[in-house]
Amino acid sequence: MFENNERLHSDEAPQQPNKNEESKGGILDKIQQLGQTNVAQLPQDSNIHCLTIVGQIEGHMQLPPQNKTTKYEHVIPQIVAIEQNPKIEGLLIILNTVGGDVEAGLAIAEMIASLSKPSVSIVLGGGHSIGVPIAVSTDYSYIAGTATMTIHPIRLTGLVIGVPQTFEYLDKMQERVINFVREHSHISEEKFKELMFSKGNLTRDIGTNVVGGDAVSYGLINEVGGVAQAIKKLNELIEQGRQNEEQLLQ
Amino acid sequence: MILYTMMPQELIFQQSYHQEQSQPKLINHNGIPVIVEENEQKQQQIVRILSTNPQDYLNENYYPGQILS
Repeated sequence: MFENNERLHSDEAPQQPNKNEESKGGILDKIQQLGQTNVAQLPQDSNIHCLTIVGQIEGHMQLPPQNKTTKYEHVIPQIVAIEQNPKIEGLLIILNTVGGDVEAGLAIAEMIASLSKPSVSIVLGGGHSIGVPIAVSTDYSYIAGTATMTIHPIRLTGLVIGVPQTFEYLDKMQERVINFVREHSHISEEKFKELMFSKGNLTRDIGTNVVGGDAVSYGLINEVGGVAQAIKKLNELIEQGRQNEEQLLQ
Repeated sequence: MILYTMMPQELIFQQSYHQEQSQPKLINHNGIPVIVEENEQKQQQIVRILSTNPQDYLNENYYPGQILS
């Protein structure tokens, strides 16, 4: 008996410290990587997918490496995958962007707008410049109370526009943005242009910095809210879509 | 290309001083798109997850900073 016990102990003994070391190392790794020890785990698969658009929106030209970017060629295939995957029922767009390439931004906005599945956007922190059309491209949009959207004219920074054609080209680009925003939100063209060209709001530039509640009162964004409201709205839209489909079948 | 951004041009196109640093690249690891960077030990370290599936962000093997095997 006694011998048996001893043997058992000697068998287990070398293993135990090893186990401890492993779990300790794991926790240390996690603290180094995330600054925390545990992230909540969810068992089931999600029917809502989430697209985060952060930093600069990068299109035709690769920006220097110090820029945090969201690349056009990464986002577009993801939207295509979301559209064709039957398990995905809704799309949540999280925006915290300083703007970026006009064509890439408009392309992303058009892709989201033409999605057959319900989509909801939240502007957190900032949805500036080309972030504005992306924010309004979804079926319903939210803005955090503290988030801002800078609306300003499209221009070539620090350059004098030399040729009249250049000005016309820029003006056309600007028209594309204005038209898209007008079509996908409740703001009027006059109001949007007024915000875009107003003086005295930005220290060194023309334009307006629109904060949370103001964006809602101008009709640019649907509601002030955060992730809870956005997910709730998205689930409502998904449910609505299901009911419409059922009615069609009957 | 026209940039429509509130960030000043000189901030976007400033000279970067660490050119030799490895370029982060996009790879597909078990169906999860991740951006990885090579660390000093020549291992692939996750910088960012590009998946749209929120569940992928809860996968312990794909936390930013994790080393891919």
